[in-house]
Amino acid sequence: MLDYLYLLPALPGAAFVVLAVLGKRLSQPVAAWVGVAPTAAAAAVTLAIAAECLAAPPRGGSFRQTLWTWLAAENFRVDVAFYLDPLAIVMAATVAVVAVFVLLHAVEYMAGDDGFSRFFAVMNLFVAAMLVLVLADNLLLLYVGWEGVGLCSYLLIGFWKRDPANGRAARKAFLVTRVGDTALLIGIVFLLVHLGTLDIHGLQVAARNAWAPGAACAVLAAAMMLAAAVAKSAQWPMHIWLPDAMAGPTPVSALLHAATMVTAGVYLVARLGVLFTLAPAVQWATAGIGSATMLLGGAAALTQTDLKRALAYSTMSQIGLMFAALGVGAATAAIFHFLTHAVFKSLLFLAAGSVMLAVGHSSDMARMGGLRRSLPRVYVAFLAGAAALAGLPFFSGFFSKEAILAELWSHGDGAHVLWAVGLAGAFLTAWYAFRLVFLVFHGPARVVVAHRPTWVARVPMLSLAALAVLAGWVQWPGVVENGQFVAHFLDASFDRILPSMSLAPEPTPATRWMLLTSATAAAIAGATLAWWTTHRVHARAAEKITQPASLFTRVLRYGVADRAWRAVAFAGLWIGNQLARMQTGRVRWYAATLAAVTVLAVLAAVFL
Amino acid sequence: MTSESLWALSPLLAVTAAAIAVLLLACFRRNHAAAATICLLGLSAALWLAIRAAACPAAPVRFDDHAPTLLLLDAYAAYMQAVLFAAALAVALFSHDYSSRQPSHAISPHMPRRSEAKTGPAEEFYVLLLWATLGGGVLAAATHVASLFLGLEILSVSLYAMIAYRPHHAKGVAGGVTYLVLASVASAVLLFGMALLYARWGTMDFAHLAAAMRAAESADAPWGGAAAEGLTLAGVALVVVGVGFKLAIAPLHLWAADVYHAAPPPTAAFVATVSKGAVFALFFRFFTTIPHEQLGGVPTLFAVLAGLSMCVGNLLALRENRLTRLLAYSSVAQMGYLLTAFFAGGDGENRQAVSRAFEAAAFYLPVYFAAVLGAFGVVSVLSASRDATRDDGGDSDHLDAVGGLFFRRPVLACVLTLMMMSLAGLPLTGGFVGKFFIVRAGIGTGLWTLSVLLILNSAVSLYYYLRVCAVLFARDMNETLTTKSSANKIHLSATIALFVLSLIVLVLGLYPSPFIEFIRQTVTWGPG
Repeated sequence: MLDYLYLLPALPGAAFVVLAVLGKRLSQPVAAWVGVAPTAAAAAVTLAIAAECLAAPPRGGSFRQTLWTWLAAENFRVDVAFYLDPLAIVMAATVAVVAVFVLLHAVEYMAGDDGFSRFFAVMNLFVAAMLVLVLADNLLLLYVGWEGVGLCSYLLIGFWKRDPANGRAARKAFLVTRVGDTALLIGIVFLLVHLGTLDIHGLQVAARNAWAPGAACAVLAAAMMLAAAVAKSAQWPMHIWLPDAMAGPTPVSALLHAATMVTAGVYLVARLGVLFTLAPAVQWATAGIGSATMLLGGAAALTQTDLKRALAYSTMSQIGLMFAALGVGAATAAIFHFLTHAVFKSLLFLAAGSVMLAVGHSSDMARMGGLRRSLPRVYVAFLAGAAALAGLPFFSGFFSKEAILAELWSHGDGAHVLWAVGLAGAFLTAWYAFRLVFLVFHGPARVVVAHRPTWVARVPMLSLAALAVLAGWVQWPGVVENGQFVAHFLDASFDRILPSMSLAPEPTPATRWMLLTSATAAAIAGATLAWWTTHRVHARAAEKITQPASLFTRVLRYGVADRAWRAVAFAGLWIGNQLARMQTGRVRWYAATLAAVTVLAVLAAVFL
Repeated sequence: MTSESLWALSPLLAVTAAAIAVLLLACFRRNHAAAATICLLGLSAALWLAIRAAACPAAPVRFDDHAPTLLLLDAYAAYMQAVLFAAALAVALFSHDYSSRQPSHAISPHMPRRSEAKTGPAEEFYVLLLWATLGGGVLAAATHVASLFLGLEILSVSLYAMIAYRPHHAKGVAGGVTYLVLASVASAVLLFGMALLYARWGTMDFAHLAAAMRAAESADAPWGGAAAEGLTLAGVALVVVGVGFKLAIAPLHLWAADVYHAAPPPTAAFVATVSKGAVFALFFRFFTTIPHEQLGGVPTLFAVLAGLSMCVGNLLALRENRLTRLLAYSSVAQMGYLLTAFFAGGDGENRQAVSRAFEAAAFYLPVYFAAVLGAFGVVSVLSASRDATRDDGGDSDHLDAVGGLFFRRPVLACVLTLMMMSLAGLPLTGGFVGKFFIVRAGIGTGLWTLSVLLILNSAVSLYYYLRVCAVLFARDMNETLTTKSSANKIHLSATIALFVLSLIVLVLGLYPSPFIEFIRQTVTWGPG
């Protein structure tokens, strides 16, 4: 089965080609089949490969499939090759499985749209690019996937072109993440020049041999990678694009801007774990940025009146939690949270999409309310997702969040600041998650439901809901044979390259219970507060409670980063205009310029 | 002259022979197809001979042994010639498509009579194209001021006429005159710079010049005092200005957009590729031959211009709405990228750096050529359709005019998209690999500023390249233009050219190793 690894990106890639070439000639049902079936097949192959790797791990714990030599120069070689280790398996399986559900849901969500086949073409291209990203054996191929997902994100955010605001949002997302792409490419070439290889595994071995911890080169390289990850994963201060990105169709928000693409940064930092351990300063920066984003995003999510925007801020905040975990070297916990987050957040978005269809293509929560009676299945699904997001005990989010909090406790310095911040974040998360549940599904009904989801939309939602409830249980001691299944499985991929990572002291049982209890208490307190503010308190008083949070929101949306972005965009166009004014079309002016440049050049050459 | 030197010279001879043949044909019997065929055959033969010369590197042939070396026909020259001839071949194919669909040739009873007088016959265009290509080939092999100037003038004088080849196009003549005036000034500047160098060093041969400079340096004598030093510096600065004009690097880029816009699209493609490539080939050889120690701040000055070029080109393109002008600005920026590879080579002291830089440049040049030729090819095909249906030969290159092109002419739209992606340097196209090699060469030699500037600029440039792609795929525009008239039919020649160019861009992006290997094997250290 391992030999079919190349099918993972190839199948959705082929679907993209077919849809792009034949797009307008295919009827919608056919386009839907072409759009969903290859990804489903890819997901099946992924699961089969995962099962095979579980049953009989490949020799050395990893598998490498070289397709062809891409670039070769005198002293370096880059192959088009895929690398499979537990980390790649978890990532690829999550991406493929979530993608299938989202695409299936999109068949209903996008039904009747002009760009139906275009939508599925780009979505398939995205899946292919994302799988290349997570399976890439070297950084250059990873960059291919990285650029590919960015391009798809641009195309999909601006999918509905009639509204110019969508185009603006797409451009903003594109330009802001370009900053990260630039940093990534500089980092890649820097690593190549200094270490002579781009092979992700070989590179880290070489880095550990070449650089002492804290060496300037290591710090610079890691900082570049962090900048790339921060931009891609919408962390503060490069988060400004994500809320606007919600202009895209909801399935896009579910797949790209919640489950997979925005977590590419998490994957990059986890993948280059060794590089980051060589740069402690950058690790602290990772933890700091992650914690800050977690709090800011959580606070911002509390004040939103738009369902999708609230979920976008929530995504930011949850990825912040993963970054905080990565900052303390807890890659396993971060990736586990990535897995559960991908499931429950895509579920929340799909449910939100069904809600939006029901209330007539609007994501304004003022139009919603009391929908639990008219959309009972959506309600159950959303509730499961919200419970997992809030980290209520025994839902999937609980396990991964608890794992991260435990790591923050034991890895942080003595004061446990990071842990405290994480706990506050968990509290905020539970609060805004249930605020959404109560605002959308409880209270008086405000509109007549226009559309009820059919099975095409229901199956993905209920499957994801089941996963959102159950996915965490693989981590429950005793459920799977060797206990803490995901952790052990993933540790395999970090242990080999990161022997130092598991050196943290194992918390005592008492500490463990304290951690579990506090996380549970935070989640329940948050949920209770949400109920109280939405049911008992007058709306205006509830607003007062969230007043400080809305200040955060304003800072986040219109803060320094956004101003800087506007300033750069404006300056570029302004300079371009000034330069264009020199293009007068008059030969004498051109000749005069030529003469002036000649004189200046001679003067500069002779006298400088 | 031995048979070996004859083989080495054969590519240039083939081009010359084809030019004379087409000229004679046009004198006696006007036949567009025959002229085009001879031109294509001549260029194909020249291409084959040049590849052969590059692949089986014989000892470099010098002309002449006892006189100063005018032409150095080594593997470097052969490789550059091959690239130039291939580009010229593509231009010839596009111009066949373009001129065979010009009004005077699409003779039909419905065509107004006046349009026949408005356009020139097509045969002479091939003559000019061949002469210009010959000039480019000479430049690629020139190692002497005389051959340099000869090549440059053969190239430029043919270009004046090629740019103004659409007499019915008022802008065409204006563009030709613009280029005529400015390019002759630039040639004069270049020539004057060379004269100053001759005044100081007493030689017009690059190798002798370098040897004399090195000798003066090692003799540790103050080499002639401030006046002599000033002569060298001023001379090199003037050479830089002259060459910079031809390459259209900022701030000498002003002519580019107007000329590209005014010229027939095949000519614009030629100016953007063959003309620039030939001058670049010459300049690469010149600057890696002479030692940099005595050039003072000139290399730095030139590097500043290269950096400026990237920024200015991209910023100008950000707000440009005409495809040809956008391509002109884009090529201003692209020259900046190419010069980064050039600076990564240093002055030839560090052999490894030079060969890495040469590899990068030698890879980037054909990739850039293919993308620009493909883009201009699409413009040419479109504007030929437009010219044939509309008399004013109007602004077929406005972005609005190509809006929704995908739904009318999907193949053209896809080719243009591919070319834009390659120019932008998106992965899986040749442009990405090319840029990657340049950045690697740059950072490898510690050229941080230019390399980082390159990456930043290609990030910025993606914005306008993608804007073009977005327009191509936008619906709701020009739905009315879905005319299935015969004027819309692409000629086979252009189809072949577009297909091959797309293939090149894709193959060099997906599987470039054999080509890189070829460059490394044949042209081991580059210019000698």
